[in-house]
This record gives sequence, C-alpha cells and structure tokens, in this order.
Amino acid sequence: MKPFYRSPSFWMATFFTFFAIAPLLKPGYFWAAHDARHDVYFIMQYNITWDEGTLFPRWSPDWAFGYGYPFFNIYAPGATFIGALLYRVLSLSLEAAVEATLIVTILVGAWGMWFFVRDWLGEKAALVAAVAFVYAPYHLLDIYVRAAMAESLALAVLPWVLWAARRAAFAPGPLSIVALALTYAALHLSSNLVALIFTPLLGAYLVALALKRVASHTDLKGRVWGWLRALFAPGLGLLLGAALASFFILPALTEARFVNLDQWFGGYYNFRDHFVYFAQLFDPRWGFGISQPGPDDPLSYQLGLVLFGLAVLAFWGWLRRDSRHRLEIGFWLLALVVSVWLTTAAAVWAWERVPFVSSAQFPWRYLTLAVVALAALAPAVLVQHPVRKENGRDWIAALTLSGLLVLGGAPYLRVETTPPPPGGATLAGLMEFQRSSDEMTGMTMTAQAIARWSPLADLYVAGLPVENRVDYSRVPQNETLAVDAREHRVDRELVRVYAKEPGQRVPFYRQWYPGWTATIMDPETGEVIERFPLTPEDTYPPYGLLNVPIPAGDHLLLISFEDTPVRRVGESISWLALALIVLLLLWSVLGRRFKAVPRI
Amino acid sequence: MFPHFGAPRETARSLLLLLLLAIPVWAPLTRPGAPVTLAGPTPALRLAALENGRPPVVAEASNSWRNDGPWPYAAARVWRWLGGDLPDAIKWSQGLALLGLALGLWGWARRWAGAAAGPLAALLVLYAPLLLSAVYQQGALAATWVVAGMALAGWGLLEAGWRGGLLAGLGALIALASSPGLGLAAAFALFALALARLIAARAPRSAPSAMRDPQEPAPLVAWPSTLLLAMGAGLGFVLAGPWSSALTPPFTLHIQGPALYQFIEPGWPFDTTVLSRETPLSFSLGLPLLALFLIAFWLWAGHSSPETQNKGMASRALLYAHFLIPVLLLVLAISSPPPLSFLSPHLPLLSLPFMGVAAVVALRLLPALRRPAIYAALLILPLASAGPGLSPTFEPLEVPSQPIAIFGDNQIVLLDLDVEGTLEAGATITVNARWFAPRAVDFDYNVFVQVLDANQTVRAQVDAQPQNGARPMTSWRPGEIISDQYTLTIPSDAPADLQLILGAYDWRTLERLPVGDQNAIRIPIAE
Repeated sequence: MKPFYRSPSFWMATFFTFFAIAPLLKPGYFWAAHDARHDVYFIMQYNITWDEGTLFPRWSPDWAFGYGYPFFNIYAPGATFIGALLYRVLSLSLEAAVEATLIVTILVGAWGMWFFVRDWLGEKAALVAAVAFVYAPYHLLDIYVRAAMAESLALAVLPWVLWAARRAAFAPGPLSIVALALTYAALHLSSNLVALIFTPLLGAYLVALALKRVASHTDLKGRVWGWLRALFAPGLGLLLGAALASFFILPALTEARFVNLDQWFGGYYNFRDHFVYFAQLFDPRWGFGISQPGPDDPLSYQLGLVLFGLAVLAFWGWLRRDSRHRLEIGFWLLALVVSVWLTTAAAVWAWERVPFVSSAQFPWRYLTLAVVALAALAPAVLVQHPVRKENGRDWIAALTLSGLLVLGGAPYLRVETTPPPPGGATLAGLMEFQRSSDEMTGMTMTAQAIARWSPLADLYVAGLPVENRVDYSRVPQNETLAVDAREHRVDRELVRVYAKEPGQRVPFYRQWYPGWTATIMDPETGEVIERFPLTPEDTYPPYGLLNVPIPAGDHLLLISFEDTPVRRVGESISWLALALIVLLLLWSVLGRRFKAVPRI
Repeated sequence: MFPHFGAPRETARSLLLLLLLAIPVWAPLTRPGAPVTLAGPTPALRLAALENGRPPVVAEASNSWRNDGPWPYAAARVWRWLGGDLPDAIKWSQGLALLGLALGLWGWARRWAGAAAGPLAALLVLYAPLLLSAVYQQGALAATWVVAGMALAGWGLLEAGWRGGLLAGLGALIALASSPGLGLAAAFALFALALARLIAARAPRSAPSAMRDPQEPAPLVAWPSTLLLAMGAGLGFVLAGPWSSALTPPFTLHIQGPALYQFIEPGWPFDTTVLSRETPLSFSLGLPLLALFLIAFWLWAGHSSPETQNKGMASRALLYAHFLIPVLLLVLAISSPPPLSFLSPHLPLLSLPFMGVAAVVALRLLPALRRPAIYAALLILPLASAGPGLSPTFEPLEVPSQPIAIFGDNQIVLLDLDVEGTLEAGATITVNARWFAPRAVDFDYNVFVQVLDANQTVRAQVDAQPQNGARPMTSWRPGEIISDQYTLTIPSDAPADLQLILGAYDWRTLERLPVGDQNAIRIPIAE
C-alpha cells in the first residue's frame, strides 16, 4: 500500500472537501446558527482559564451570569480546546476560531473516512466514501445549521476510530493498539454523547470483524483462538483509550449528578417531542430553525437522496451474495437501519427502556451514526461490481459517484451570516445571550432556581471588571463581619476576613460543586489553620451559591476549585495509560513495524 | 398469474431495488395530515359521498367527461375498511396508484429494453417533477390512476399471450374507470401502441431486430393483448362513462394547459390564483428523463450500431410508437385544441410512461450505460434531481361527510359551520365557517350573514369580504381551506321569531350567488 501522500485519491478527496469548506470562509459569522454563540463563548471561557495557566479547565467562571459552572468537567472539551488553540496560535478572532475548528473537523472527517475505507475497499472506494461523508446532509447540518463544534469533531473522529479498530482486528500490534487508544480517547474528549452512542456500534463492529476472521476456522480450537486474536488487540486499545481519557470520563460520569440535569433533559429537551418522522428522512427541504415537536421542523433530518440511493444499491449488491465484503457491508446496512430506527417514534420503547439510548438527548442525534454507515456504504457499488481490467473506467466511476454526491449536497452548502448580536463576542455579549436565550445558565444541584441576571452581569454589561466574587450585599462590613478581597482568579478567591463571633459565613457569587475547598490561613504567616471541602450545606438560596463558614477572628480565607478524589483517580489512570502508550510506541519503534493491512 | 419475466430471484431483486429506490416518492404520504393541493378536500368529500350513497354536491356537471370515475375511490375504500380516516384513505389510494405506475413501468421497460431498464424507467417517471406535481400539488388522484393503468396496460401489450392480455385489459379498465375523459385519451395512446405491437409482431423472426423478443412464440399472439385491451377499456368506459350512475360530480380543476418552456423549467411554482394561459404549476418532465429520452432518440436515429441497423418498418414500429406517441401528446397539451382543452393539463402525464420506456432504450443501444457504476449513477440521478417535488406541504385536514352548501357553478364551497350563541334579542352570535374554492374564483364576492325576522326584515348583519378583506376570494388558492368568523349582535328590541341566513353576492350587481334553487342558506341554530 503506497503512502497516502502519493495517492491521487487522497488529494482528490481533499480537493472535494473545498466546496464544503468554502461557505465557512464567507465574511461575517453565522451568529444565528444554533450553537454558534455558544461556541464563541465556550472558547472565550476556555481561553480565560488558559490565560491563568490551566490547560484543561473544569470550571467555567462566567456561566450562569458569573456564578460559574463546571462545564468542562461534564462536557467534552476537545473541540473547544482546538478552537482555543487556533485562537491563540493563529491570533484569530473568536468567531474565526470557531469557523477554523469546523474546517478542521471537515478535513479530519474526510481523511478519516478515506483511511478507513482505503484499508477496507481500496483507494477509489475511499474517495467516494470520503466525499459521501463530507456531503452527507446531517454532517452539513451539524456544521452550517447547528454549528455543533463538539459533535462535528466527534463525527470526524468516528472514522478514525473505525480505521484503528479495523487495523487492530486484522493487523494487531503495538501501533494499531496505540492508534485505537488515541482515537478512542479523542472521541471521548470530543463529545461524550457521541462516544456513548457510538461505543455499542463499535463493539458490534468488532464482533463482526471477529466473525470475519474466524470464518476460515473450522475447528473449535481454531475458532476460539481466532476470536481471542481478533478481539484482544482492539479490546486492549479501547481499554487504553478509555483509560487515557479517564481524567475526563470518570468525573463526567460520577459528578454529572451534581448539576441540574433536568435543565438539559426536561421540558423542550423531552425526547418524545423530537422523533424524526419517516417522511423527514427523505425530504430534501433545508432550513436553519431548531427542532420542534411534530413533522414540520424548520431544519432537515434527511439522509440525503444520493446517499440513500447508494445505500439501496449496496443492499441490492449485498443480496447477490458474491462479494467478499458481504459481511462488513451487511454490518453497515444493519447499522444504518438500526440508527435510523432509533431516530423515529417506532423506537420509543428503546428510548424508554434500553440504557444509554436516551443519553443522546435528541433522537435525531442517531443520524450521526447513520452518516458513518451511509458513507461506508456509498462506495459499495464499486466493489460489488468491480470494473475488471479497466482501471481507467473504475476511476471514472469513482469520480462520477463523487460528483453526484457533491451535487446532492450542493444545495445545502450555505451559511446564514448575520450581524453580531448585542455585545458580540464579549463578556457583556455572553450575559446578554444568557438573558435572552436562557442558554449557558446551567445550575448545580444546590440551586433552587435558574438565575435570570446577577450583579456580576451588571458589571460586565457596564464594561467594568469583576475584581472579586464576594457577595458584599450579604456582608455587613462592620465589626461583626468584614471581608476584604485580596486575590481573584478563575477558580479561586482569596479574602481577608474578620468575624467577631464564630458561626459566621462569607458568601460568594460562585455556585457550589464538588471540589470547592476552603482554606483558613493565618493572615500574617499564611500558615494553614484549617482546610475543608465545601458541602451542599455551605450554600445560600436561591442559586446555591457558596456560603463559607469561618471561625471567629482575623483570617485569610482561600476558596479554590480543587480536584476531588474521583478526578485524581481519573488523572492517575490517564497518566498510567499514557505511560503504557509510550512504552508500546517504544516497543514498536525498537522492534516492530506497523503492519500493512491486507484488504480483506 | 404474472407473465413470465425472468428468473424469479433476479426478478424479485430487480423489483425490490425499484421499490426501495422509490421510497422517497411515497414517503411524504406517511406524514400526518394531507398535502396542500389544488384538489384540497374534494377527493375526501367524494369518497365520503360515495360511502354514503349520495352525490356530494348539488350543482350540475358542466362536462361529464371531466369527472372522476369510481376506481380511485374504490381503492380508497380498502383503507376505510381497515379503519382509516377519509384523508388517509385518499393518501392510500394515491400510494397504490404510484405503486401501480411503478410496477407497470418496471414490467413494460423490462420486457422491451431488458432487465436493467425496468427500475430505471420507473424511477425516471416517478421522480419526474410533472408527476410529483400531479400528486402533491394538484392532488390529481384520478389522473395518477389513469397513468398507472396506462403503464400496466403498456406492460401487458408487450407481454406474450393471454396473460399479457389480462394485464393489458386490467390496465385499460383502471385507466377508463378512473377518469372517462383522460382514460379515453390514454386508451387511444394504448391502441396506437397495440397497433405498433401488431406491426412489430409481423417482422420475420430471423430478422436481427433490436426490439423483437426472441422468446415470442408467434406473431399472432399480439392479438390477445389487443383484444383484451379493448375489452378492458370498454368495461372501464361503461363503468365511468357519462351515462354511468357511478359518476361523481365535477370538481375538476380549471387549470390551463402548459406552455412548451414549462416542460423543461426546473422551478417549482405553486400559485393558481392567477388565471393565465401559462399555469403556474410545475410541468417539468425532469431533466434526467428528458436527457435520456433525447439520448435514446439520438442513438436510435443517428447512431450506427449493430442493433440499430435493422431498418425494417415492422421492427421499428415499436420504436416509432414510443418516441412519437409522447411527442404527440405533448403537442396536443400545448396546442390545446378546443374539444380536448379540458384534458390539456393532464395530457403531459400520459406521455410520461412512453417517455420513460423510450428513454431506457438507451441502455440497450449503448451497452456502456449498463456498466454497474454508470448504471448506479443513472438510477440515482432521478433522486438527485427531484428537488422540491419531494417536499410537499402538509396540513391537518378535517373533512365533513358532506359540505354544507355549494355556491354558484361549483365556485365556492361552504365546508362546515359552527355557531356560538343564541338567536334571541340582545344576544351576540358568532358564526365560524370554513370555505374552499374548487377552482380559482374570478371575482371578489362579498359574504353576508343576516338575522331576519318573520317579515324577512334584516335585524342584524355582517357583510364583508372574507376575513374582513384580508382574504378576498380571488386570492383563494384552489383547494385552500379558508376559515372565517362573523359576529353579529342582535338588537334588544328584535322579535322572538328570528332566523339566520348566510350567502354570497356580487357587490356590483347585488346579485346573490345561487345555492341550489335558493340564494342563501338558512343556518340551523341548536336549541
């Protein structure tokens, strides 16, 4: 197999992505796209933390009108990290950083699908699959309509995971295990939702690959060994990948219960209102609205007529039973049917009863998996009916199908740029956004009400700096209780406090969440007198903000957002996994080569 | 039962391929509600009337040939027996018509131009904007059934023996029993094809004919299909002809025939409130269908290949028929000669099956087109180019079993009424009405609601353009349901014996639109 950079198919696939990238280069920004404003503020918040030296932050200070929210503790930070990185390295505006991130996802996805399908079906098929992936309507919807940075990145990572999994199954070795570990970890760090709904599919795919591997064995011993061989390396890779990302996964899984999840799964987010109607899967209408109950959503949930046609042809070829790729094509056909079924009301039973299914939040999110299946099936017609001894014509066929796929997606290659909303990409804009949309107003479990505004928001809107987050409205500032703010950072606050009597508390404009720790110090020497984690009892209503108990006397009080035991365990596992990966790489470099995968 | 058409497994696969690729055409019918069409609630009203054994309207038919026959509604009643509601039954019938059309074209093209041609011909026609417009814009249920019957008959004509004849007869029966006027036009086209078939059957078997079926047992077997075609057509004509008691009164759309450019215009207009020669509806034949039709014609007429070198009149008869019949139908549609002008909007539909089958002859004449990937691209091309035709607008549709009244010569229909309040002195009474126009209304009539006493003196009234002038009748799209509300306050000194009437009138002449033999309807008030 020649290197990818010598493959015309690879460069052709890259060329075909340009049409999809072009709309993002249009001057202006698509502020009205669903998550376009979120993305800008996510990067802004990430960057603020990065400025203070935290590369992977868990706490976002300006959510909920400045009360803060453990956003990146429960929401995969990968896409925002890339956005912040591009923002800093390329000195882009926040809006351009979002667009650049989306461009990256388009390229990464196309290349991933190319690598995955090249290993499986060859170069010409890889070209068709890459183009099919890029121009799948739901992929374009994620980018242009939803501006869903995290899901776009996760979708782009999926083919890479499949590529690595296939390699690990058919050419097990240290490098393929490392590749699977890295890509699977990248998936978890891109979008926890997508990782959650994709993992069962990945498991099923590995079983299908194992079936393919053991098919040649007739004896029991051979079959058992075949199963072990086929599943050991991928299993190890996935385990290592999950371990590598456990600094995020473990806290996300165990500490998500400390935020108000009803806010994101109840009301408008009730999945029963967002099932896709059968007709919508084939309706070529496009739109930029948001999901609504009923069949008239002002946005598209279509599969793509060209992609659908190619999938039907793949099924037709599959029926002929004469393709050596039958098992894998059959798997992707089944994956397509199941993922589409899960988007419809026919699957309400699964949504209500099968674990993890409802974690996708909206049924149409399963179109993410459908996109992968459709792209994998798109080139099947080339291999089910190969044009033998006519290599040139084979290329024409691949280019014809690619051209059709681009034409099929062409009507949807547009972004709707609008003037910036009030405040634009500033903290004042963030406050206005929260107020007008009720978005990014996440509350933790101690909150009894969702904040609608705050004194901090007043400061931001007035263009004044927030120099501390002490709630002075509740501090008498007299001989009974006096507080003097000394240091203010994203995830910590140092104040000098005087309390006449014990039992007094210092209120802060910060939401409670596990990890907030209070340290009482001697004001002269800085010696730590007492250090204790803050509990839900250490809050005041209605927003569950920190209300830190202090002893009588003159002290320094430091509140800081620290790692909980779960986070520390997760981080330790990640470091361990990283060390193992380095060892595997060394092992590979020292003695082994990355095995070329035969096309099976 | 079905004629022989190849190995069963291969045949089943081919049919499955077609049915799967055609899913997007049917898919809109699964949406809740009913498509917003020019027919509006008319088909559902007809079905309700047939079920109840009474005519749905009181007006006289102006041209019996324009009526719908009983077949589409008989098909719809199957769904009613299964417990479905009226609009769903109409969608079901429409879906069956599309299925019949797909099946007929598949068999017709397959029989004539080879196995690969079947699915392609059906897809080219099913995704033609003209057909999608007929289904999802015009709501032309009967016309769709006529085309379906025509396709089945075409298949039957090319099949050998009596089995093919049965199919031809059934197809002709469906076409004629769906619409006497349009069905008759379809029957003429089919007889032309049958004639060509008879001529083709006379070609010597040894001749290297492009289109001869080598399996055909003997020339004379073309007769059974022609004979049964005639019998089927005759039976259908008896069932749906002007003398038939099964006739349903006319709500036929008064849309005009298309202009030439409309056959290729890719737009998707939908505005029939403007009465003009160039009807603002899609009449596009579809670029894939048109392109392949022209390619096939060029290959046959201008290209030299072993298969096209046979210049015998007999062997070319079928080719002539497939290319000339649709062209003639299109010319008739454009020229719209007076006796046939009422058929003009639907004549292009009749050309579609012939064009579809003629287009796929290209697969036979140019083997390169049968290469798998190219063939795959050809199959997908109709899907990719269907565009907005697959995005019909749907809305909830509630249809009463009978409209309250029809004003004028089928001009405006009062679908139902709802009265709030009591008819007594000092009371306020609100009348909620739902109207629709079966065809574009040519004048802005006023609607009046009056409270009359025993001496016919007006005690209270509303006299206005619909929706207080917001929706004058000339702005009503045919089939569109217009809700309106009229509120009246009855004077406190009004006598006890009051009645409420509703009507429409020409404000220039003060002449009321007749409703039956009256000039207004009396609205019953619940006690």
